[in-house]
Amino acid sequence: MEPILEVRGVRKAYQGFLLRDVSFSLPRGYIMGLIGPNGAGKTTLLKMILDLVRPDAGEIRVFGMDANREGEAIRTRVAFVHEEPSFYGALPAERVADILRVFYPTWDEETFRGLAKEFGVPLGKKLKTLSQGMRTRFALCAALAHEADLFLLDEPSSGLDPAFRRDLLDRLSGVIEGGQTSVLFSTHITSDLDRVADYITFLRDGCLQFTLTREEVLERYALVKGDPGILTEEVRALFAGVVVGDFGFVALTDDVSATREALEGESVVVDRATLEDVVFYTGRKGEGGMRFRGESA
Amino acid sequence: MFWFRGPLFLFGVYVLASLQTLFVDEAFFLLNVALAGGLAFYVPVIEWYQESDKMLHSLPVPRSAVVITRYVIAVMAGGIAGLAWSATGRFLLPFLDAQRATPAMWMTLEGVLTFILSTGLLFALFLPLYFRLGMGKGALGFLALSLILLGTGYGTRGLATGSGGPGTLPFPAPSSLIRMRISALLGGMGVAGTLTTILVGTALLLGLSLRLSQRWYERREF
Repeated sequence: MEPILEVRGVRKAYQGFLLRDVSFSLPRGYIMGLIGPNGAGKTTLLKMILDLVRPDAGEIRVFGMDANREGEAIRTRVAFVHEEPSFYGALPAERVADILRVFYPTWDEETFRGLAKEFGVPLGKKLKTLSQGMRTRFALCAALAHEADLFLLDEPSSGLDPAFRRDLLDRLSGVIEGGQTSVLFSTHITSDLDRVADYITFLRDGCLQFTLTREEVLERYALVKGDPGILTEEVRALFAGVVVGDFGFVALTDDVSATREALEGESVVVDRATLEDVVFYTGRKGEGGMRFRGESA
Repeated sequence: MFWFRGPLFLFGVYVLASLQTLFVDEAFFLLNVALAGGLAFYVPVIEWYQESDKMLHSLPVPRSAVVITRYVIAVMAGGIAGLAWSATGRFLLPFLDAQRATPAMWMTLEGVLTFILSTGLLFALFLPLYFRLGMGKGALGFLALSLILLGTGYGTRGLATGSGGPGTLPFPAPSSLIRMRISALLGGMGVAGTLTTILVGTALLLGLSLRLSQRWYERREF
């Protein structure tokens, strides 16, 4: 089956930033988490999918359509929640919903009002008087009310309290149950992805580090802890990142069996890595700014 | 309440400003050109202030439709401001009659054509810059472009042109430059020729501006 979203060789250059050769695809009926540190290119990528930003090279296809040429048709079926939802703040929430409703033929008013009630969004209040978290809840109500086929969420959970975040994740899991809808969301809170994501795409400094299923990520990566004395150049070359402290080092490896083999007999501990570990340790140079595999001098 | 308060405030400012400027033709004229701009750019300014551009462009709306809508609203705003100009003038006619012997600018053909061309120029120059650069940078670009055009206009006519005398500003208003050209046209081409030239010219100007805006807006990133 054709993927709901396909990103092929996308490149975008800004002054001081380059998103290069990003390729991945998201099948129907799955949730993909987009992770990476600040400035990795996550928001730029989401904006390109919505045709708010144009790639310098490469192609993005959504529902089989070209994101650049058929943006309007695509946006009809996409729900987008911005990191900081910006609406007409001087209007009450329900008036903004009235405006949004016009653009979506599939808008379900009953669903919208039900969600607003459930999420505790005061529809009679002006949006500018609501907290960022509440505005995000409003944006989520609107996104869920028009029965989109693809949800693009840019850091949706950053302004939300933990209880609501959990509700939101459950709801996103519910959204994909029919097998026709997919969710792509960027987040810093990797524990959210541990709960719901089927795929993980990791961007760092504008480069795609990987796009894998969550299970593949957890199988591929491991933390290695040991004495800094064993950190020769050959050993360092095994790691995707390392942090050296006073009492030992913690390194991330993406080839567990090769690492085990190379360090056989050494006093090291190999642990499962979490998604947060992967984001944190990838590219860390360790003490003294030593270089790693794939980095030129 | 929001929909009501903003326009009501604008109306109050307009009435007060009208009372202050109605005895000076060019100032009253400029006030109404400013009213056209205020009406045309009211919503874009709010959108800019609230940074709702991203939301607008996340909606399933073709960019060309956004551009066309802005132009239609601008033309309507120009029409409303023109009507307000003449209606306010007519309402205040007794005061004007008491003060002057020559007909007010809004009562003359050259005055009306100056208004059409001036508002047309305002929209034709400003909107492409707005669509290319956004409201903030677009307004600065428009200011710079206006200064260049005014400098060119004043440079060719001389700074003293049109200044002084009753019913005029102490300095030559930008519109006086246009008005003089239209007077010259009326003298040379007659009413029908001038009317056609100005209306077709303004329409062409807006049409070209619309194409440019569409082209630039398609390339804009948010």
